[in-house]
Amino acid sequence: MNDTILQVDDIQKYYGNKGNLTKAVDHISFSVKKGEFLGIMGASGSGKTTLLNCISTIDSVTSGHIYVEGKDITSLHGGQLSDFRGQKLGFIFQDFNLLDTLTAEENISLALSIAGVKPSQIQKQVKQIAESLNISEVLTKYPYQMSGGQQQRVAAARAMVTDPAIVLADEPTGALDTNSSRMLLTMLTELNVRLSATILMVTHDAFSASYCNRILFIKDGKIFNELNRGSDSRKEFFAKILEVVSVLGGEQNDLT
Amino acid sequence: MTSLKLILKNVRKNIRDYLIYFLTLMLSVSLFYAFNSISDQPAFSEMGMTRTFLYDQLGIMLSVLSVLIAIVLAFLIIYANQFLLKRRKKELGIYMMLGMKKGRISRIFAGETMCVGLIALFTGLLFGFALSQALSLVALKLFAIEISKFQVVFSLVAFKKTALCFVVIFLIVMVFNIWSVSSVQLIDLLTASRKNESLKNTGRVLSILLFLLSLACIITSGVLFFQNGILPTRKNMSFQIASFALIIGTLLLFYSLSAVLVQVIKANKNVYLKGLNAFLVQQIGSKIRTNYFIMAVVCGLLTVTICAVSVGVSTALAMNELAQTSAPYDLNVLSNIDIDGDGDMVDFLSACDVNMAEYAAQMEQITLYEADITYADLFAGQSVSWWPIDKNIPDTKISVVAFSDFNRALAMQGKEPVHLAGNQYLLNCNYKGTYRYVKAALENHPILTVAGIPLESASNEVLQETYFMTSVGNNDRGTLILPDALVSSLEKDVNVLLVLYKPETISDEVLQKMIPIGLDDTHGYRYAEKNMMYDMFYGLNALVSFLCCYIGLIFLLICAALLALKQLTETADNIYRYGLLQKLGAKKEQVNQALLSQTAVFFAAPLAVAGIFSVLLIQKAMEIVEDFMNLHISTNLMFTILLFLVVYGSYFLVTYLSCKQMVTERQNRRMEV
Repeated sequence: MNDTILQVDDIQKYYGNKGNLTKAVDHISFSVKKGEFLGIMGASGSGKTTLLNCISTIDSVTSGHIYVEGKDITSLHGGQLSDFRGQKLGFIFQDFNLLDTLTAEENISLALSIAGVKPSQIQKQVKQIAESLNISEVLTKYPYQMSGGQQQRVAAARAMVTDPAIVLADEPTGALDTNSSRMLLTMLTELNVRLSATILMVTHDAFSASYCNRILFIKDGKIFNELNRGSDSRKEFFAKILEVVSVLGGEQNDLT
Repeated sequence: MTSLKLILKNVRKNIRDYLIYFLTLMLSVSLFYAFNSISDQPAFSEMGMTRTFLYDQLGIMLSVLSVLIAIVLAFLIIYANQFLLKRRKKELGIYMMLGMKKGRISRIFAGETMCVGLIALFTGLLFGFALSQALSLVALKLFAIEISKFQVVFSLVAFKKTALCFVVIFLIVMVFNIWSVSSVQLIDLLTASRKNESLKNTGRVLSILLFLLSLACIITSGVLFFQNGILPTRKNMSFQIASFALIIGTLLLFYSLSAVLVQVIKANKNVYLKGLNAFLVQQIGSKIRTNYFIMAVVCGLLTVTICAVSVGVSTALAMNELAQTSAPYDLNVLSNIDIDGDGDMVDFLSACDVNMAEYAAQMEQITLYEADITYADLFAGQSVSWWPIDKNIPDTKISVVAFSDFNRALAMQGKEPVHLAGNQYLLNCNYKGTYRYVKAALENHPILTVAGIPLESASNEVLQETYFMTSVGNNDRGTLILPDALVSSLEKDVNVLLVLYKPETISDEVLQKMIPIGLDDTHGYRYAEKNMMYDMFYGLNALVSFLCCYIGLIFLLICAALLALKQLTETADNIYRYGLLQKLGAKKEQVNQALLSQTAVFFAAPLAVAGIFSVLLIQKAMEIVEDFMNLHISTNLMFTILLFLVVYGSYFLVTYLSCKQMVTERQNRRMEV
């Protein structure tokens, strides 16, 4: 089990008070191996984002443990938490979350300088990641001067540049058009294969999910099903996903 | 990517985005410096004693006020900062997300505050330095000092005061920032923009009840203020109760006002469904409701501003007018015959070590008598409405002066004597409050019976001479001039010594000796001195105008800045709604119109309420000032209105234009992408 990057061990997350308790995450366990591209699918309100927030230490768990590279992150506090986020995690959000006072290059290098990388090293790494994500020509631009697809690729670059143990993507294609979505997903897959980056992506979109190696389906805070892509082509995998989704009673029923 | 670079970038963005806030900071600093620096103008050392005294008073009052204003400014800056910080929650979240430690984030925010503060302080001081020169010139003019003595000065004291004050404020802000950064939860930061504002919808019945309650509170306090005045007394708790009721009433009013208005407009479907009204009404309603506290605070500050500026300016104008009617003598000494008996005043003064003969080129002693009829008798048959300070005039006995005394007094002024036969009288009056009644009395019943003898008037005209000076202007409320023979049967009231100085007499020297005599309660001696009167007029004038402008400007700036800031940030939050309206087919003009109405209501609502409060309070404040200064003041609102138009108006305009630009810019950007 040496190559297990992430292990989620029986976690629960409750919201509300005694009278009105919502179990957003209800006894979920799974593990992610190095180099995996894992998708988490579910309808709105199924608890998938809460799960992601727990893994990303944005939110705390009610019970259970989460191990990243063998370290229990549910027991981290303050400075340790910041260091953990800076060094081990990369984030990609639906709404990009770039700092609009900084250029693309500065946004990416900020992640490195926070992680404590030497300035001489920073430029080299930024250049590298920018090339692989095809954003070299927008590096000097500010977020509001870029298209949505470009912004999301910059955000991806920022998430990847620190070489994190795991990249967490929360509906990364949610705000993008089909073309930009496809481009982003292709690049994520490429990064996943070439740099063997571990990616955990939350989505409700079957098309996005079809780029993953493995998919967990979540319903009412529980794992409902699991799909492995194996040697299927993307098209075959997509069809399988849709089947599960229709059983799930999700919102993609009308897609086929 | 160093922290410093981040700080500088953020500062640049913040100053651009919150230009109004930054400008307000800068203006506050400059005003603070300018007003505090007046006391360091060397030209003021040339002043006479009375003026020096008043000038010292100005210094003291300015420093007291400055403390007060510093506190209010601190409130503004901390408040504005807190809510600007709230708007940057997401940014904060991203920093934390990327693994930045809270310590470093705090340092970044503290650094930003320091940068913005330093820039504001520096530019503000520069601007304040320029402003203070202009202010000093105005002050010199008001204190009636030769402009040639003016010097350009940098006041180190004012500089230190301003710097200290604002450094302390910025330090507090810094602490606040660090504290709020270190107490946040990451989950709240990232989801902040997604959360809807929790709209506390009080029920319809409840909001109407609250509205009625607020009206009741305000009316109660109004009645209490009206009955018992607006000063606290030890006698009863009226002031405290009234103030409390007013505060609660105002808060409740703004809390419930929007709900009631929305109900009323909604009931009228023709209005409600016309154009963008439905959107507009709800938007304004929610804005007033969510900001009810700030609206109430602004309303309170505006009330203070309106009252202070109006009362101050009116007083200054009244004083100025009085000072212009010339004082014909250099010195008057009055002695109350009831206390000191009838004697030679020069002898008394000599006994008090004031050798009048040494100073005076000319001296006359005249006597004022009391007639056996009152002013009410004189004005019989007229419906007289008295200014509040003159309320006891009707019961006062009419002053009488002997014909010969009157002519001696006139002769001293180089004027022609008046003529009077043995059975005649003359009337003299130069007080605005009574002149027309005196004139009417003369026309209505020219025959007047004094000491049992009927007299006829020697002239159809009322004389308007100043035959002696009182300490407050030349307020002869009506004097009978009677033949000497008749006067002797009347009771003596006051002896007056009229003095004209020799050219070489130094007025301060005489005044110095007169002060202890005037203060001595065992004797009824009082005095009025020409230079002192001038100084009082000019000095008080200057004092009052300065203080009023200071308070008025600062409070107004604060109010306008608060409102502008709120409106701007809220428009930024609601920008997608305007985009939506345009997508639904609303025309650009309609959207602009909606924006304008919204901004206007937001600025006008507190002003309207403050205006109503002020109408009541100004009247009461005026009565206090009149009592205190013993003169009538006609309320002058011109200056207040002008000040509001300029300051409040320009803030309103700038706010509207920036909001409009924000909305249009957004649309254009959308189209490009």
